[in-house]
Amino acid sequence: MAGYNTNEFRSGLKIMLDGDPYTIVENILVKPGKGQAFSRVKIRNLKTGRVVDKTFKSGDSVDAADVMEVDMQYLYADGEDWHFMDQNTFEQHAANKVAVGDAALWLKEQDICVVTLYNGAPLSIQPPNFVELKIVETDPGLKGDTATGGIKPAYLETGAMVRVPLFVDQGESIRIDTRSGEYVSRAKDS
Amino acid sequence: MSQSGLIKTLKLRAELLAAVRSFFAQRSVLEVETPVLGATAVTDPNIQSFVVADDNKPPRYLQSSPEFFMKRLLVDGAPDIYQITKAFRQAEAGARHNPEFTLIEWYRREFDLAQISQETAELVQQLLLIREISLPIQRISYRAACQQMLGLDLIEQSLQSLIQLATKQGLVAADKLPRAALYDFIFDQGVVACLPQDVIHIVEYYPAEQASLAQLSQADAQLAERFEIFAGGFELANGFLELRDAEEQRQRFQQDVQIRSQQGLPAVAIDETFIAALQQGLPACAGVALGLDRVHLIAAQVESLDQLLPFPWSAL
Repeated sequence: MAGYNTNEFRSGLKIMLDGDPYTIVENILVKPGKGQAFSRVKIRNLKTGRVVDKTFKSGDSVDAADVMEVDMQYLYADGEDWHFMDQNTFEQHAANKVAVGDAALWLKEQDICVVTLYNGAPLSIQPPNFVELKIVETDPGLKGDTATGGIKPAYLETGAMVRVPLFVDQGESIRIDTRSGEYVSRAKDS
Repeated sequence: MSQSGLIKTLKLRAELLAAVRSFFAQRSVLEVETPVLGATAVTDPNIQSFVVADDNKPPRYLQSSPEFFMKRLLVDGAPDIYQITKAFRQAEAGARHNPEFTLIEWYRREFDLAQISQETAELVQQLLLIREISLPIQRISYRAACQQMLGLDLIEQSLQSLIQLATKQGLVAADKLPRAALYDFIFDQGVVACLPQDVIHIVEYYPAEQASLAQLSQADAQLAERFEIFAGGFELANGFLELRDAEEQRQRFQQDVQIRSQQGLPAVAIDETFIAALQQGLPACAGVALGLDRVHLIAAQVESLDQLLPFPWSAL
């Protein structure tokens, strides 16, 4: 397996540690005037998303993680897996519940997601930053109420719940920031 | 860098240099220069020197410190001396490291560790006053600093418990490291990181494994007559009551050479002219190296050398 020396460390590099794949978030050189040099890194576990602080002796090597991030189109869910297609190779990949996680709340058919492949299989899914989804259930809209700033819960076609302004109605499509899970605006063509 | 930023950084640098020269002039310490391109390099396995080709002659080495040349001057009869010089170390690049950096190095005859460390702290204090940053000086032993910050005496710990402690603090493959490297990691992580940043700390009496070019303490052979200065959360200076025993110095160098070969690092020949000078007799003295760029960082109140140096390494 290919490896990296600590002097190749940079953010975004994918490495293996204790059997799990990690991505380097930050790398800092620590070196006393007289004494051992170290690479102090923040690394994110690509399975759990947890960020940990680790330190490597300068000059040490670590295994490279066979991890790739690929843009793929979300096709459909079959009740068990979520299916994605690499639009360059037309190769299809099935991601299970663990890999999809909370991204399931924002997956809309035909949207382009970033699929992280680990040893060729989906490890995690990153939905687009903004998605447009239809409201399937919410209290009736208060027409013209764009000023009071009141909010109400709305349930979307994917099962997600977001807080929306009072004037938004059932059956409308809205734009959501998937990173915060917050309502942005009404969708343009709804 | 903006034009006003550039002028600010150039002016502050010039003021710092002028203040260093006036500090030593007042104390009758003589400014000297020594070669930057030497015929040998340091054996220290933690320092990699740049090698410079010289036609078809043996290569030269950019000096990682002016220490050996300055000690040779002392052997030849020079009085108290200082110099402001560029020093060079491979692969040391980061927010607070530049492979080419400026050292202020000086040697004082008949000074002990308390005197040289006090003088260093006072110089740092005066340099920071240029920007009206007024920091108090506090002296603490390495042992007491560990006791205070870690709740234990590192020097008394077994190798096994040092490995456990380092592993707990996030060091990968700690069990492959010798005591000195474990001290480096644990001290940086657990002590330096916790020292109040608005104090100039003198930390003195390092573990004997980290003696480098310092004498071992007469009172306690577990300790070396070595100190460091910390402020702003990082190391500014490192100094010794200088080792004068040529035989012991040769043994330490030979140990370095051995570690280099074990670790697959480039081989470096022992500087025999330096050993010969020690045999001739180095006068009793204490010496210290202070990183001017680090002092400049604190004075300018910026985080990274990229914001300070007109030509940082990563953007030459």
